[in-house]
Amino acid sequence: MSQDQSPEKWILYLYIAGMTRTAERALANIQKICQEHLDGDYSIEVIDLLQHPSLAEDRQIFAVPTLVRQLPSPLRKLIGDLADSEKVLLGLDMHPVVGK
Amino acid sequence: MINQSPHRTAPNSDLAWRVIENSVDGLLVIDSDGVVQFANPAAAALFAGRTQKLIGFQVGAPAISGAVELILPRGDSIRYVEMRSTEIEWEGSTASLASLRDITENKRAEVQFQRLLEAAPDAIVVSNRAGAILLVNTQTENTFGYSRDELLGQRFAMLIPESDRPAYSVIREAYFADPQRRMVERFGLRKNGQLFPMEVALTPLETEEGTLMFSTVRDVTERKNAEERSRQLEVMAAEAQAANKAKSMFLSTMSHEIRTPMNAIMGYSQLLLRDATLGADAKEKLKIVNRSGEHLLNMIDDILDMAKIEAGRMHLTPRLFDVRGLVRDLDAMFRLRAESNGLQFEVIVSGEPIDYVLADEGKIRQVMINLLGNAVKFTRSGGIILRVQLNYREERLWLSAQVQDSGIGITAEEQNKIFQPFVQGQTGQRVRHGGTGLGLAISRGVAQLLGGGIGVSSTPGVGSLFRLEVPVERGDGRAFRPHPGRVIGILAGAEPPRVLIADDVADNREWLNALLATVGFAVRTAENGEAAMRVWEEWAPDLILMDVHMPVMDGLQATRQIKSDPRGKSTVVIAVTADVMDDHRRLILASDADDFLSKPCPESELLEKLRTHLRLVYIYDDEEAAVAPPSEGNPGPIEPDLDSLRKLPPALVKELRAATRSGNKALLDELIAAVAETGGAQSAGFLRHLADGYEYDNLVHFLELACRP
Repeated sequence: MSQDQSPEKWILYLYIAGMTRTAERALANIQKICQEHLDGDYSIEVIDLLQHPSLAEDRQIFAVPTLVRQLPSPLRKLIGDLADSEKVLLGLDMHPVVGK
Repeated sequence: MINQSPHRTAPNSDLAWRVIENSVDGLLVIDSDGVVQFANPAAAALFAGRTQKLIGFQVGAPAISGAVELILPRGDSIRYVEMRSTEIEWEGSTASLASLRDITENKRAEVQFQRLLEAAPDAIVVSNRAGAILLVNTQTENTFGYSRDELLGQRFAMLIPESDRPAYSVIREAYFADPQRRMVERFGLRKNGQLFPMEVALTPLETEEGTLMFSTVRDVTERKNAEERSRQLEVMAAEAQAANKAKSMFLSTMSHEIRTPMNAIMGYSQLLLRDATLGADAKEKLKIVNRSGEHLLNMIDDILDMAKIEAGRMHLTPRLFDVRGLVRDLDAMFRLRAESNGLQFEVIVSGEPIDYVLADEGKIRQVMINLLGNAVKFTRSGGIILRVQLNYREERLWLSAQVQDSGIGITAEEQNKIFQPFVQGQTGQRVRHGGTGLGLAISRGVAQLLGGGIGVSSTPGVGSLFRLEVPVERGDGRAFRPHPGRVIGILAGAEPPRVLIADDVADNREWLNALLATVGFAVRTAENGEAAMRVWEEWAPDLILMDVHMPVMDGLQATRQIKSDPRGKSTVVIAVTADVMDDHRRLILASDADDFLSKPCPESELLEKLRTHLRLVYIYDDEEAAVAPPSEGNPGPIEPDLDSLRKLPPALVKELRAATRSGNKALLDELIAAVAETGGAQSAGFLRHLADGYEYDNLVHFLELACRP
C-alpha cells in the first residue's frame, strides 16, 4: 500500500448513532492509537448520524461506529469498536513511529 | 458452522453452502480494504433498506475483538446487530468473515426496560449471585454519588458500610437460596462516605443468565427525619403537658399556701371590727387591712383565673341572682370612683322586667367590674354609661351589658390585641397605667365560658364601647339575698345550734370559734379528722366545718366515715378549703360533704351557709338601717308568732307561698299589706321583715309551718 511517510495531516471521521457504549469505546481507542502513532498533526471528528441522518446515505455509512480516514487519501473505512489495534493500524495503513 | 479452513473460492460443498444460505445470522466476507466480497441472504436482508446487492460496497473492515454491538442506519429505522469477526483466506488474500446477529428486538426491550428503570423514583441496582452490579439507573448515580461506569461490574457491597457487609452477604445468600420478594432496612454508603438510612426491596429477576437480584433502593433520610421530628414533637408535647400539670399543681399549692395565712389575717381583722371598745380610727385602719387583703386575693385570683382559662380548667357554678342587685352593687362600686374623677356615671337598665336569673353571677360580675374599671381608668373627661338589658333572642334570654366611655379609645389594630393575654395596647396612656394586662383576656375567656362573647368598638380620642353578651336562664324566684346588716344573734330556738370546727391551723379554729360563739352558736373544735370523729361521736354536732387539708386524717376521709354512719346522715358537713381550683372543688362536692366553702370567706357568706343549712333566722344589727331614713320605723327584734300565722286565711297563705317561690317582690308586698289588713299586724311585720331581707327560704319555711295545725 502507500509508503508515504510524509508528515501530512491526518483527518479522521468517526461516525456514530448516539454515544453508545460501543461508540465511546471506539472513540477512546482511536484517540489512544493516534496519540501513540501519529505526531500530533491529526484531527478526529465525531459525526452523529442521529443529528445528521442524511450523511449515512451521502457518505455510504452502512454500520456504526465507522471510522473513515478522509486524509491522507485514499479513503479507508473501519467498523466496530476499534479494540483490535493491529487491525486498526493495518486498516488505516498507519505505521508505528518507531516501526519499519 | 463456518468453515474456517482457508478457501480460495466460495464454498463449494453443497452442505456448507446450504448452511450459509439458510443461516439466520448475516454473513459477510470483507476484504482488507473494507469492501464486501460475499454476503448471504440474511446479511442482505439486514441491509435491505440500503442495497440488495452488498457485494462491492466499501462497508469497512471490522476492527473488533469479541462481540460488538453495531447500529445499522436504515433510513428512518435502525437495526441493532451483534457482530463477530474472524480472519479467513479469501481468494488468496486475508479477509474478514463477519457474522451479524439481529438483536434489535432485544435491544428495544432493553431500551424499554431502561426507560422503566429511569422512570422509577428509586435507585435500582441489578446484581447477580456473585454480587456484581449489572445494571443501574440514573437515580442510583444520584443516590450513591457514583457514576454508572464506576458501578457496573463492581460489587454491590461497595454501596454498603463496611460494618454491614457480613449481614449483607447473609441476606444475599438467603435471597438466592429462596428468591422471593423481601424488604430490608439498612444503611447505605455514598461515595463521599456519608451514611444514609435506606429501604431496599429485593425482587427476583429471571433472566437467561439465571436469577438476578433486582434491588429497589429508597433513600428514607427525609422520612426518618420527619419521624424523628414528629417523635421530638411528641416528646415536647408530653413535656409541655407535664409542665402544664406542674403549673396547675404549683398554682393550686400556691393558692392554698397564700390563702391559709390570709384567712387568719382577714378573719382576725373582721373579728376585731366587732370589738366595740375599738376607736373609729383603729376601725378605719382595720378596714384598710381588710381591703388590702381583699385586693391581694383578687390579684391571686386574676393569675389563677388566667391559668385556669388557659388550661381549660375553669368551670361554671351557676346560681340564682338578682340582676338589679348586681347593677346596684356595680353602681355603688363605681359611681364614687367615677364622680371623684370628675366623670359622669350613668346606669340604664332596660329590657325584660326580670329580676332573678340563673347564671354564674360571680363570673358575670367579674367581667363587668373589669370593663367598668377600665372605663374609669382610661377616661379623663366626659362620662361612663353602663347599659344593662335582659332580652329574649333566638328563644334564649340574654344578659347584655354595655360599657361606654369617652376615654382615649383604642385603634383598630390594638382592638385585635387587647383580648390577648400578655399583650397590652400600645397607646401611651394605657402603658402608663401598667397592670397585669390580663383583665380583658380573662374577661373574654370567662365570657366564652359563659357561652357568650365580648366585643369592642372604639374611635381613638372619642371613646370605646365594650359589649358583653351572655345567655342566662330566667330564675324561678327562690332566691335569697344576704341581709345587708351584721348578724348579732340567732332568732328563737331553745338550744343553740352546735357547730364543730375541724381545722389544723389554730388561728383559723380560734377566729371561727370566736365569731360563731359571738353570734350564739355552741362551738367545739378539733385539730384533725380523727379528733373531729371523736367529737362528733360524743357531742353529735348539727354541723361540721371540715377543713379538707389536715394531718392524721384529712377532712374528706373524716367526712366519708361520718356520712357512712347512719347517725351521720343528719349531720351537715361543709368542706372548707383554701384550694380554689375548680376541679378540686368538684372533687369535694363529689364526696359526701353537703356543701363547700372556700377560705378565706367573708363572715357573711359563712353565716349565710350556716343559716341555710340549719334553717336559722338571724337577728341583724342594722347599722345601715340606722343611717337610712327612720321612716320605716324599726320594730326591734321580731318574734315569729306561729299562732297568729296559722290564723291567716289558707288562700292568702297559698298566694304568699306562690309569690315567694316566684320571687315576685311586688306581689309579695301587696299580699303582706293584705295580711296587715286582715288584722295580723304582728304576722305582717314579721313577714315584711323576711321579705325585705329577701329571706325567701325562711319565708317559705314559716309559711309551710303556718299551713300545719
